[in-house]
Amino acid sequence: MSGALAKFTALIPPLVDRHGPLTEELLLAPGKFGLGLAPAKSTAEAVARTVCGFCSTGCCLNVHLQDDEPVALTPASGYPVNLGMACPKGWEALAVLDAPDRAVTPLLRERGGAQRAVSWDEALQTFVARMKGIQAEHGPESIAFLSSGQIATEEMAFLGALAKFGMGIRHCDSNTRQCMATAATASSV
Amino acid sequence: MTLLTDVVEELGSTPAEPDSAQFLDAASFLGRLLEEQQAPTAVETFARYHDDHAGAARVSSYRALLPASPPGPGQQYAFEVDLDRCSGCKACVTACHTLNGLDEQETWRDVGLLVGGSKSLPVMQHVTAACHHCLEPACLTACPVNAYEKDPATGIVKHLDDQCFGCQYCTLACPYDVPKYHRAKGIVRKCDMCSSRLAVGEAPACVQACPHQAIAIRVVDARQVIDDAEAAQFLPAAPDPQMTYPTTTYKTKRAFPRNLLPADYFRVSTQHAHWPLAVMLVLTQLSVGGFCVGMILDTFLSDHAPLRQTHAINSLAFGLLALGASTLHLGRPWLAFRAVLGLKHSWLSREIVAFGVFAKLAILYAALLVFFPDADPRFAQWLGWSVAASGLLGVYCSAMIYVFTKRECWNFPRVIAKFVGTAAVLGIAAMWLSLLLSTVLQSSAESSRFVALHGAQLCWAMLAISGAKLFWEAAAFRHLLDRRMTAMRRSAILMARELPRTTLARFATGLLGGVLLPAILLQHLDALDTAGVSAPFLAITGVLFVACLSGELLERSLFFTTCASPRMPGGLR
Repeated sequence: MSGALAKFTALIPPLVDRHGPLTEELLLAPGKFGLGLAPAKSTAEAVARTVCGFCSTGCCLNVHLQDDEPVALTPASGYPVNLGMACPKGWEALAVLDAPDRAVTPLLRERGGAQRAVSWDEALQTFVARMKGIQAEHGPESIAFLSSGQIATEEMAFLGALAKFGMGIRHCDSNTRQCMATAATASSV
Repeated sequence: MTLLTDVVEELGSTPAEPDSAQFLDAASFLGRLLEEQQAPTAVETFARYHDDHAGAARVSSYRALLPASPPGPGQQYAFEVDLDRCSGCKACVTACHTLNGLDEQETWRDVGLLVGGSKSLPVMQHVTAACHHCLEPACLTACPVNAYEKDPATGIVKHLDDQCFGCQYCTLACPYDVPKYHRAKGIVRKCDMCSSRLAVGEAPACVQACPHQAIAIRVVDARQVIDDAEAAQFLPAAPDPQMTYPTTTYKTKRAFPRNLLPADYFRVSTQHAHWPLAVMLVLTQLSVGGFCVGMILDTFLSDHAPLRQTHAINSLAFGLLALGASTLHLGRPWLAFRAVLGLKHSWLSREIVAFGVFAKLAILYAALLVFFPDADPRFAQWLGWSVAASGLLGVYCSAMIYVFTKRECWNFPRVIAKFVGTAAVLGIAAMWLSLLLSTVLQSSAESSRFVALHGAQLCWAMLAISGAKLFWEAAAFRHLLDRRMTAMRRSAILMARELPRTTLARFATGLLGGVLLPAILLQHLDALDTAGVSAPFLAITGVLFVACLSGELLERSLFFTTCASPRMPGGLR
């Protein structure tokens, strides 16, 4: 009888509740790998170091892993480029991994403007056929390419070689001028 | 690199060897490259070991941003923001979000913008802000369940998530919009200055993350905070620091231009409607008004007013409905009993307790009239007036809940006028509804007697009170002419431009139920003496009640949605 009563009284929520599940959810625990305190859901079991892919600054980020899945991210301290700092895009670099609008396959724009998912083979075949078509009709100088500061030097060299010697393209520009230079000029005003 | 040299050497020396096909097989070649890339070098292994066995690696980079010693008596921890260093990058916002494990869209820190200056020297000042860990936190005083604590040693204002029952009163009381309601969890959560990090010598997430070291934790004297607030030295265009004594220090070496204003200064935005609260307020006031009108008729205007049984049950029903609606507002309604904890300081606790007493007395009174109609009339009257008094106390507590927030559109005269006005208008309207119910359910003899006795009095009272209330509400539009963007002008703009249909509907229903229909009833009163209460007459009373109730519900919805709140500078949007 007293057992049933105890069970019943256990169902009544306490008048004052300082340490329940909601408090626990945000409780911080010491992290390994020199990462400092972190909530349980983003504590690292292992760390993968990566370079942020958003711009060409090259900040180093520690990706916190649980069961080989990324759960959180902190900028790497001690790394000479960013000294433990990141911009908001860097802090949110994991958000793109499971973003519903992430580009995971080539999209071919059809006549009506709608984009259709196609295989890499079809995408490349179409790209090559149309580029060649334009050059055949208007001459090799009729197209240009815009490169990115986010690719490695070797890749940049390869892009230049492919475009100039392989495709006969004469004109190129890059976001170092389109984006970075304008931003630098604007911030120095 | 070794692998590549091997490949070149091997290919060069023995081009026709059969096992070279292994290298030329692209998949395994790439596989070997990847394998080599992933294997750590000796340097990397050492670096990894060093990292793994160090404490929080960033401590050295932020040590200067933390106080050297803990606060002494009369002191507390506080944020210090160097405005000259804040670039508005929002790394603090994202770091707080990540390092505290907050949910999607949830942030405890915000970055706003102040703009001003001249064409030749424009000024854009970004402002990062989180909880100001005030000396007199309005959230703490307002909380009915004591879910807030101000740490006596550190001064940090901490929210106890499991104690919270989700009434969201703190979100109205805080002038800085700090406590954030989490709908899915049904509770409020807020910044605690990363107190667990500070306890082990780590910096709060925002302090760690700021690339410009614009945010620091300092020890401040309470006296200094009060003195600064006296001189209104907090932040240009921020809410008056004397409301809660915020401890954050915003410092700058620059002189701000005189015309510095928040970037969102001229934007007006509708506020949360809080529908369950609007319904609860209007219906409790209806119920209290109903009992008051009944008692006034019973005591001062006739010896033994007819209909008082029906009217008591009618008023009680609306009161109970209101108390039911009020629980819909709670994120975790099963914890409603905790509301008694804040009785010493929270007007919400007082309101809940007052209406609790009111409901019990009202049940007793209605039961007395129904089951013991021959009881001592003096006792019945005494009990009836106790119901009215406890109800009026509840309405007063309701009003003080909003007055406490110190918003201009919720100042004492404005809130009291609206709440008491609603009680009076709906109290009279409820009397007409009781007449309708009594006639339909019982007999028309008592109804005819009632109309003959009090019909004209009720019509004239309704005309006067409704007219005055509508006029008072419409008078708010005069603030459209204010030159400065005052809080009252914001409210008037919201009513006139953002919510014109709701506003129009409010005045239309108010005029219909409170002015037009009572005037028509007045016209018909003479004819009733001979014919008794007719069906059209009853239909009009029914429409009158519905129109008045809808009008007051719309008024209360506007009360919430158009009340401009004080806020920290916001950003461009």
